[in-house]
Amino acid sequence: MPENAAHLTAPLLMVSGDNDPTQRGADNIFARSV
Amino acid sequence: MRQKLIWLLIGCDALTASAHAETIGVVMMHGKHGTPSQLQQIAGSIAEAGFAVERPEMCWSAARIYDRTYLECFADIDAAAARLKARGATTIVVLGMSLGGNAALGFGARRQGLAAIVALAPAHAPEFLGRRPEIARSVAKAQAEVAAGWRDEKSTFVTSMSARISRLLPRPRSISTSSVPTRRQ
Repeated sequence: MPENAAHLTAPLLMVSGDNDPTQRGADNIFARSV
Repeated sequence: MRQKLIWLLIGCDALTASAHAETIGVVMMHGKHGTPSQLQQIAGSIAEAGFAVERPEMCWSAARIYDRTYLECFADIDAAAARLKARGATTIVVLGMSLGGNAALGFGARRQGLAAIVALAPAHAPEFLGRRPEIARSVAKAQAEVAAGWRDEKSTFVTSMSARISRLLPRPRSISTSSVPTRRQ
């Protein structure tokens, strides 16, 4: 997911939990989209 | 989650208040082993806001159970976008929940001209799952079998779910496995 986020060309709206082991690295994913 | 969805809808309304909502189509993707009905409530809200909506049954649904590869599944998103454009949409937003959110990111990385990507609780990152030794061994086994020409034979692998179950068991004596048939590419 981080690699894909880094290649986005459209705006990203992301809603993610902060205590769910299946949603690891949310901050990194979002940061890579910038 | 409900509160976050409410804020999401408010955010969508605010961001698009000046846009021509009737020309934007939204492709919505459900989560792993789910169905399009998972997104019925939010789809209704988005439709009421004036957007055209498509909710394809993705190849990771409970019924299709991975009948295509991850990248091949993107053809279903393209088809849904084409249906929206046939209904008058001039630009496309892709929205997904859980594995659908993962796919929204993957699709967005491979397509140009999208209006936006919306990822709701994107999940299932192979980058992390592949670090588990039992899963890494299974991935190596699968790659070796594919390289050896296996196509329609059945093989047994450790999945993320079985690995998690094995960790939760009080005294795991063996790792649970599940049979996953290979398929011809």
